[in-house]
Amino acid sequence: MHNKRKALISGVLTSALILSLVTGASTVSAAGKYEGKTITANFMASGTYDKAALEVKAKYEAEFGGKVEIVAKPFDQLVQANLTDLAAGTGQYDVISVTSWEADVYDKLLPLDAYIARDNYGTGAGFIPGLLRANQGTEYFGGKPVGVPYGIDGYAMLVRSDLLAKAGVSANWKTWADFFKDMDKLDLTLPFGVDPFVFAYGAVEQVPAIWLSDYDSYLLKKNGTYGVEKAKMVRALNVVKKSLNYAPANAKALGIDEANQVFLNGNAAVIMGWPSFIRASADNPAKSKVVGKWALSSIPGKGTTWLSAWNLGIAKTSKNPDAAWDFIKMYINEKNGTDWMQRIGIGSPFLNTFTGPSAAANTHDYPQHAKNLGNVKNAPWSFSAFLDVYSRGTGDFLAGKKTATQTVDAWDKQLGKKKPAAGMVEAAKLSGQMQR
Amino acid sequence: MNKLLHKKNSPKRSTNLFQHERKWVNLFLLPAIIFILLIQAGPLLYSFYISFQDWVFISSSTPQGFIGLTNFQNAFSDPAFVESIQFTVFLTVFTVPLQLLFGTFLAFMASGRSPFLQVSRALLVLPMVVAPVAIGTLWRLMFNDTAGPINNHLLSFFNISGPLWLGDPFWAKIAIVIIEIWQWTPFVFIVISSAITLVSQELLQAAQVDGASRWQIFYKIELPLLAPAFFLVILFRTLESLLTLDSILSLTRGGPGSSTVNLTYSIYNKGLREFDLGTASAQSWMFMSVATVLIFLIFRFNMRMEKKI
Repeated sequence: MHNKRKALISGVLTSALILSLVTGASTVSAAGKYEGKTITANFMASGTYDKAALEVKAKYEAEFGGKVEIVAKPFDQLVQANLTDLAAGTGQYDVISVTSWEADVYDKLLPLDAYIARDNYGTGAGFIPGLLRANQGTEYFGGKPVGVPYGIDGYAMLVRSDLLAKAGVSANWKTWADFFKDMDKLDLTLPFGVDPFVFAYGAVEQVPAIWLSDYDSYLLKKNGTYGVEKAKMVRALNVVKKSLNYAPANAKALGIDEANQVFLNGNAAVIMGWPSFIRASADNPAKSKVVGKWALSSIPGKGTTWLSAWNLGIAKTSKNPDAAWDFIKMYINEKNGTDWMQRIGIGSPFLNTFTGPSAAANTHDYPQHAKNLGNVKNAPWSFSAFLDVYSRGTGDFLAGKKTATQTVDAWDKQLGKKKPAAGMVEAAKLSGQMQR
Repeated sequence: MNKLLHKKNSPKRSTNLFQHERKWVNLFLLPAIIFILLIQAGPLLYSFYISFQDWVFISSSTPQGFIGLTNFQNAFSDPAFVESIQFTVFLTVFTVPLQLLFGTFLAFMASGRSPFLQVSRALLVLPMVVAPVAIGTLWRLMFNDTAGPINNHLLSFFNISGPLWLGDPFWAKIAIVIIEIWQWTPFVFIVISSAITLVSQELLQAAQVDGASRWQIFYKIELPLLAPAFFLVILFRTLESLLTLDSILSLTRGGPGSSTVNLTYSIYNKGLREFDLGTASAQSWMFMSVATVLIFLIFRFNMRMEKKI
């Protein structure tokens, strides 16, 4: 008996020792995995993505021992810094916040297919089906993903359900002609001081969202140069001009925040905008007069619903790609996606956000949002072609300096001979935006 | 007498000494001259070289070969570049004379020694020391056509319906002109104020005794004596006005459309957003050549004025 007890005690002690050694060893191995290594990750200074990054930084440093330097810059500066860094190969950043605007330098990003396959991080991670398609949520180069989506949004209509119901209008517009017909109807029943429609026409880089939604043709020609189908683009530009008739008198001067405020103040029945910039305020009684009165809808037209997709990628120049990949995985996952969408406002790329428990409290928003995200696309434009030609040209058109035809001719003159980078051409081909 | 002789001879002696040591002086100056050449002339010459090269940085990290005058031709065939020249001229022609007028007026109004005037002078300088980005943001709020104080309080007080300041191409240009005048009139004010203090009071009093009116004193005495200060102000403000970027970037970002894109902004776009370094360099050299001619003309004008005076 004495011996049995002795054997039992020594057995328990031995097991405990082995267990503690194994646990201790695994803890040491995780904690020290990137000890002494530093990675630099950049994000847009938006108070959302960068805020989330700081949360992940603390967790990552505690778990892996390595250091993470978070660099946050405003959108313009971030894209410019990324383009310069990647093109020059200076290697300032390991983890890079990539959007379609960096397509010129996709070839300077590390293909992530091997990491994704190794960690079953593709469909297994729970992304919205379709979001991992090339140029429709995920950035690709040479047939391989070079980014993983973390902040997703698609242009949408947010409507005042109460006002639309009163006018007998249903927010289910297939074409802009249907939309305008309903706006005429709505205009007759709206109270004084409320306009049928609002959009940030003053933010000229946003206006292409309207004509893209109507324009159902190519954005790159067969020979790989920029180009559009003139008649369809002229029609689409005229849709932009017509939509102004339903907007407030000062609509041409409204920036994104100002247009959103018009809707939040209850002064417009419909807004076309980025839901992630509006939904949190719209549901907050301290910031909105439309709480419980709004719902999400889709934008009309046979063209493209414009996508905003932030991806995280790894620069080929990174000296610590494994550490960078572990940071990406820690940043982009189902739990963070749902939590951040509710708490910070970042558009989640995960299906669970829209079907799980959080969706029940957001039936006016989440189901339609998930549906909209299944039908979104980037436009295959370089940053400069977009900002300095298409956006500015649209601005000149809205300001009355050029007709729709002159605008399209000017675009052709400015960009007609320019060939976008290989990454851009590939993206356009994959998403059906290249002339056949 | 000896002292006088000594005084008379000393410059000659120092000149001789300088000539004797010239070799060494030049040698000691050489590193500084080389440094300045490397810092200033080096990049300039490199950009001159690039202006004849095919180089889009995003496609290649090195120039892709000599293409003659193509970059210069591209610049002139680009309607956006031509429009930017027009706006640059508009901005300079409207802002510099008005800054000169207001700055001079304020300098005369605020000249004096009373504590009130001293405080006024300090306050008048403030716009010049505010950060340009803050100025852009501040004026963006002021120009807001629905909530901004300019339309809502100032113009509505006179029953005037204010324009869409930043949404209308014409008024956006005027908005930039207003900001530039507001921000840089204090520079003119400081320079002219300093020059006024140097005008001899005895001369002014003598003119008064001779029966000259205030206007005659200003026009016939003060204005000619202030000519060097005006020259300085015109030179600086013309150059600065040609180089304006911060107020445009922070207020309109060149919009609406391309209405407020000036030359500097256009070159910035070409070089740092399109990364077309060849065309951007060509545009920069054209800009620099015109600016140099302008400076030369201002100097010539000043010399003529000095001769007249």
